[in-house]
Parts: sequence; structure tokens; C-alpha cells
Amino acid sequence: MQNILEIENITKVYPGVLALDNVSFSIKKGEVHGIIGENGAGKSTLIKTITGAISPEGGIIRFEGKEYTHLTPQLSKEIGIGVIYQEFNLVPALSVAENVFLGNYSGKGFTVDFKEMNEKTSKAMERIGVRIDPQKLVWGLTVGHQQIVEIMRSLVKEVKLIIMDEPTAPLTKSETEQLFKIINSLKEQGITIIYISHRLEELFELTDRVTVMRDGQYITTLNTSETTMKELIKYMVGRELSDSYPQRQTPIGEEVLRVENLSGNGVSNINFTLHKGEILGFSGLLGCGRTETMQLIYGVVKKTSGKIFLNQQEIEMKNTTDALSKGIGLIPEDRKRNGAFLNMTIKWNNSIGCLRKKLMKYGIVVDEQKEIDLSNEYVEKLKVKTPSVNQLVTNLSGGNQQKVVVAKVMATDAEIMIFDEPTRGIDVGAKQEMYQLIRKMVSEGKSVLLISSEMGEVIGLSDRIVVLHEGRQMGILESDEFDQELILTLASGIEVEERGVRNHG
Amino acid sequence: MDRFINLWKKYGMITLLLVLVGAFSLASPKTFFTSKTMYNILRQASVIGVLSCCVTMQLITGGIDLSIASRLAFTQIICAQMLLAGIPIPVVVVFAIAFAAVTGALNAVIAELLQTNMFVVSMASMYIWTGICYLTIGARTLYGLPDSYKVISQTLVFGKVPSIIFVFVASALLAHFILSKTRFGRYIYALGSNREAARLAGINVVKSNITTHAVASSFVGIAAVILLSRTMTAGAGTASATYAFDCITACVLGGVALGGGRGSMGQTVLGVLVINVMFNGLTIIGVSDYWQMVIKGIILFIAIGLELLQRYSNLKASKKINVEKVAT
Repeated sequence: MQNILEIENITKVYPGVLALDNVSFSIKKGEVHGIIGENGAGKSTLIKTITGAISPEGGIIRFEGKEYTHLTPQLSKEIGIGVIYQEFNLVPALSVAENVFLGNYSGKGFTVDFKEMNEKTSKAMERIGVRIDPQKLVWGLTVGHQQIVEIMRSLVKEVKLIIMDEPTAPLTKSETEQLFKIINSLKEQGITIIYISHRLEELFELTDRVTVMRDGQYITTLNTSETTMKELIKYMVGRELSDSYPQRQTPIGEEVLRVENLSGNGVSNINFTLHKGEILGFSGLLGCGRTETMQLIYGVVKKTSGKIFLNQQEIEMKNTTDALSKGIGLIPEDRKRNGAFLNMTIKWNNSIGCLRKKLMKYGIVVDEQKEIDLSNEYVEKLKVKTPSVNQLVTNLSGGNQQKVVVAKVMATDAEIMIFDEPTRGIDVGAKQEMYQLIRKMVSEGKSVLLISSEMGEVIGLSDRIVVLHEGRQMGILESDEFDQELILTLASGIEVEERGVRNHG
Repeated sequence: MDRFINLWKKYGMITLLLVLVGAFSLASPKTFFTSKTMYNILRQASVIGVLSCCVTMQLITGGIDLSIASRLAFTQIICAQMLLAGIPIPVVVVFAIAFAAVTGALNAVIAELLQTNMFVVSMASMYIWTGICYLTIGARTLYGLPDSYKVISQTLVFGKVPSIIFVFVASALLAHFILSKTRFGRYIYALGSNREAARLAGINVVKSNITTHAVASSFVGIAAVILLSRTMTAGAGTASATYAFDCITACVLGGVALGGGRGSMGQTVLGVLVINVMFNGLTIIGVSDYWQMVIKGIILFIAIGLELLQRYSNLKASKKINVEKVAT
């Protein structure tokens, strides 16, 4: 079999990050080719390079023998590359056929030949063995059917290669099965498929070969029939943890928070205990329910069942105001969207959570002197680099913005701090500072729930780690059990019995 | 360019105000630059000014309220009927403020329940209150109010300054105090700046939003009281007046952001004064009403353009400092 796509020495640099580092590999004509890697391994960047969404700094893309230094979205479509993203690009108010032909309607002059479009759409659907009424409006379709419309769009354009980025993420089980059938029939018709998924079992069911990526580098390509999940995970992890993490200075104390069979918001039966001065890490792949669990604890979303005990007392979390008053604070995942008030000053951000508690005089008036003192104290404590506390937060660097968000929560005197991806999008130096800060907090007797997609971070900082997979708790690891392979195995949804992983306490 | 933007932000409106006063004084020294005209301008500015206290708060939360004129009209009608029925003035005043606050809160409650924005809710409420005004008194005008009611707006303080101006000044000071000095004011900005962050910071955003609209609308009540005392008549026609748009124009011209989270009472007051000086001046030098409408539209465009330039210069400033990028 000849190669339909060859990638040679592709390199993509973002400021401060080498997103793709000299990546070379090839896709055979007519195969289903899986690509796996942890979050941030460079899969998405690679896809964007092939679809022409971004231009690489160096290297060659060879498609059907023709060489390109870079592609554009139009060019990649013309030469027969189609892509199905996780987010669909459909117009809900138009019919299936209209969406399929969006941008190149059939017809002459100003008229549109709807009959021809509908017929062509039906014919294309027959090719992959599905039936959806071409005249049905897209907003009435299930997610699975919407995805099929996306696939049809590529099909009517004589596509040769279809890239699917986590296509099963939004699908139900039966929809997934239908997708697999479609993929197989596409394959029979000679269409090549690049399939990206976190779900290892899917790769084994579908793919002929699998390419593993890690930290922007190509690691290896394996024949799926000749490999095992264990081997794949080994290649995905593969690195030694080199970063240095600050060590624990103080012992862990008594229980402060206990969660029993916590369910709701897409997670079920979560059980763990957090102790005074402890850092409890949460690990799992995208969509595993880490953030959702924290939302239940912080009162953003109400739990449907289960119990939360704070200092041995059962509590109900009505809303975030309630959580904060009970001494729980949250540093949200998306700093710009949910964490900071960007168009406000540092001192304003610093005080917004603790106005009632600390900064009032005569009951309703904000004590501005106290506010400035408080903000200066935190700017100094967290080493925020800024000329003054009157600086707008939007003018700060990512790392400093994050410090302002942390300061806002610290100022509320929360005893339990939830960090959701505290170091995402900040530079290496700022990361180290954040690690020191979290360490310092627990040594002062606070307790921390830490979510991070960076394996090194979770292992380096946590005292114990809870691993989640699709809303289920896979296990809790003690520090002597910390092991990247084991965590990734559990996070992939594979039960591990023999290691004696505990799932309670 | 950035320097111009910064200078405009600080001194633009006050300079514009002085230039306008100067220009009209030169163009028509005998009629414009007289204490009588000046008091007249301020008197006319007062109702818009008090209403703008409400609109400023609403805009800072990120909501536009189109219903203020219709609620103003209905509040006025009820007050007039109460006065005609012989109810004491202080009771009427307190009722007006409370009633307006409740109607404002009602808008916000509906917006929260339907999880939609204030714009559509207030549009629906505008139709309803306008309809109710006409249903209550038809096309009649209520008049013959007790003469003592004039005291609120028409008393001449120091023998020449109409008291309505003092109500305006007091309202602006009160709104300024609420917005800039109190915890509640902070929450108003938080809502408009980033509602989700506000919620995660432990602010009860639903409660704060409703309270804000209640407090803001109490200024609609005050406006109803002084307008009634100035004209001594009440009719349903007020409901279709363009108060909401005039106030929004004044606020935006002053620099209050339509998207929420930015603006202050000082800016709004300057906006109100500039608009009023400009249109009084234009009338005095003989520019027709129709041209004034055209000019009003152009000014609004310019105000929005300046706001865009400000945002752009902020963005550039943040890019200079922010060199890191996130790679996925």
C-alpha cells in the first residue's frame, strides 16, 4: 500500500513552546490511523497543520505525492482532506441537504436546485448506509446525526482523507456504534481516516496502526494488532519527571472534608477525604469530571445525591456564597473567563470576595485605606509584578493575573482551596512560584484540592491522587503508589486490581 | 493616537462642555450666556439627569432598560391621582420611589427567571406599562394638582435657582456614593465586568442583579416626582417619550460602556450637561429640530467610535506587557 500523506520534519513554534518538534510519519492509503498522546502532546497542532489552519515553521507535507510547505484551509479542502472537529459547524435553521452543500449550492444563476441537492444528499447517505431525511432541519437532529451531516459534507466533495478529532466525545453508546459502522464503510470505499481519541479501547476496535505523540514529538507508530494498551501507555508516558517540586515541611493533620457517594453534574459516587495540610490531587483525561466534582463541592451546581462533611459535620452547599462563608475557595480553571475581572484594578479584584468580611466601615461603605493595605500585602506576599495595586489586571502577564486570582481567594481566608489547573498558560518561572505558593499554604494549615492535566504537577505536589474516568472514580493512590503509567491506565478506564488500589478514604 | 485617547479619557468631556458653552456664547451672546438660560438648561437637564442615574447603574451591570419612560409615565399618573385625591405630598413621594423600585425589580426578576437579557424583557415591559398608562386615563391629561406640590421643583432657592436642580445634584451625588463607595456598588461593577467570575467569587448574582435594578429604578420614581412638580400635569404621552434613548446617549457620550463593567456617575453628569447645552444652544441659534435629531445620531456614532478606540488602546497596552501565548 502506498502512502497518501507523508509528513516530514514538521516544526511549529509558539512563543515559549515547541508545539511540534521535527515530526515525521506517514499515513497509508485506505487505513484507519489512530493518533494518541496526553493533553498537550501536540495532536491538535498536528491536525491544524494538515488542515491548513496553521502554518508550520519548517518541514514538508506530501499529499498524494505532491509536496507542500504549508496548506491553507481552502487548499486542503480542494485536494481532498476533510475534518470533523468536536464542535460542529452547522447552521441549525437550515435543512440537512442545505448544510451538506453549504457554500456550493446546486442550481443556475440565482436559483437553487433543492431537488438535486436533496437527491445527492440521499445518495451520499446510502453510500455509508444511513438514512436521514435531507429536508429535516438540523436543530431537530440528535448529536450523532449532526455529526453524520458533518461527515456528509466531506463526502460530497470527493474527500480522500478524513480527520476525526475525538469524534465520540459527544456521542452516546449507540451513536458511537453507528459511527464505527460508518467509519468501516468509508474505509471499504478506500477513504483514509485519521482518528484521534483519548479512549484506548476505541483505537483497538477501529484502527490499523497507531502513532504515539508526546511533548510535541513523534514517538512511534505501531501496528494495532501487534500492540497492547500497556505498551501504548508506556510510550505515551515515557519521560522521567525532571521538574523539582518543593517538599512537604509540615505533617498532615485531621480530617477537614469528607465526600461520600457524591453524585450529580455528570459524576457519580465520588468518595474521598481531605486532611488539614494535605494536597489531594485529581487526575484524569479531558471530560473525566474533575472540574464537575469541584463544582459540586463549591456549590456552583447542586449535587443530586451523596453527602459532604465539613469538619465532621454534614453540610448542604446552597450556592457559592455559602461555600465561601464555610471557608471553601475556588481558583477556577479558566482565569480569563471565570477567574479575573480583567477590566478592573488589582486592588478591586483582591477585595471583591472579602468586602463583607474585612473591608466595611459603617456597615455599607468600603474602607478604601484598608483595601489598599490588604492589596499591597498580597502583592508583596505573592510577588505580583506590577507598578501599583491600581493597575488594571488585563495589563498583567498570565502568571501575574493568576496570582491576582489566587490572592482574591486567599483574602477570603478560605481554609480549603480548590485549584483547577492553576498553572495553565503561564510560563515556567511563574509555575515554580505557584508550586511554592501552594506548598506554603498547606504548611500554614490550609488544605488543597488540586486539579491538573500536567502529570508531573499532580505527582510532584500531591500527597494522594484521586483518578477519575468519565465521571467515575477509578481509585485513590497513596504517594508510594504514584506512577505515571498506573495513573494513565486508571485514567483510561482500565481497572487495576492487582496493585491493590483503594477507592475509599 | 494613544496619547490622544488618554487625554480624551481624562479631559475630553469637560473640554467639550467648555468649548460648547464658549461657542454658543460667541454665536449668541445676548440670549445664550445669561444666567436665565443657564438655569433653564440645568432645569431641563434635571429630569434626564436623575433618570441617567438609573441608566448608569443599569448599563454598568450590562443591561439596557427601554421601559424607563413608560414606568416614569405610569408612576407620574398614579402620583397625580393620589394628589388629586388629597393624599399628603410626603406619602406620594415615598410611594412614587417605592413603586418605581418595585417595577424595576420586576423587570430583573423576569430576566432572571427567563434567563434572558434586560433588553428584551424591558421592551416587553415597555409595551405593558405604556398600555396600562392609556388604559388608566386614556388620552386625558390630569391637571389641577394642589399648588403646594410645586414646591418640589419650582421653589427658587436664593431667589433664582430652581429647586429641581438641587434634586438632580443630590441624586447624582447619591448615585455616585452608591457606585463608588459601597459594597453594593462593587457588586454592580462585578456583575457587568464578569458575571461568572462574580458568581464564583461568592457573590449572589441573581439577588444583586435584582437589587441593583430596584435601587436604580428608585431614581425613576424621583424623576417622576420632579417632572410632575415641574409640569403640574400628567398624561400617558410621557410613556412614548425618548427618555431611555436620551439617557443612554448621555451615558455613552460620557464614557459609560454599553457592555457593562465600566463607567461612573461623573462621566454621566458630563454627558447629560453636554447634550443639554448642545441642544439648547442649537435651538437658540436657530437649528431646526430635525437637524438636531441628525446631529444627535452622529454624536452617538462618535461616542461609540471613541469607546472602541479606548478599548483598542487598552488591548494594545495589554499586548505589550503580555508576551506569552498559550499553545494547545
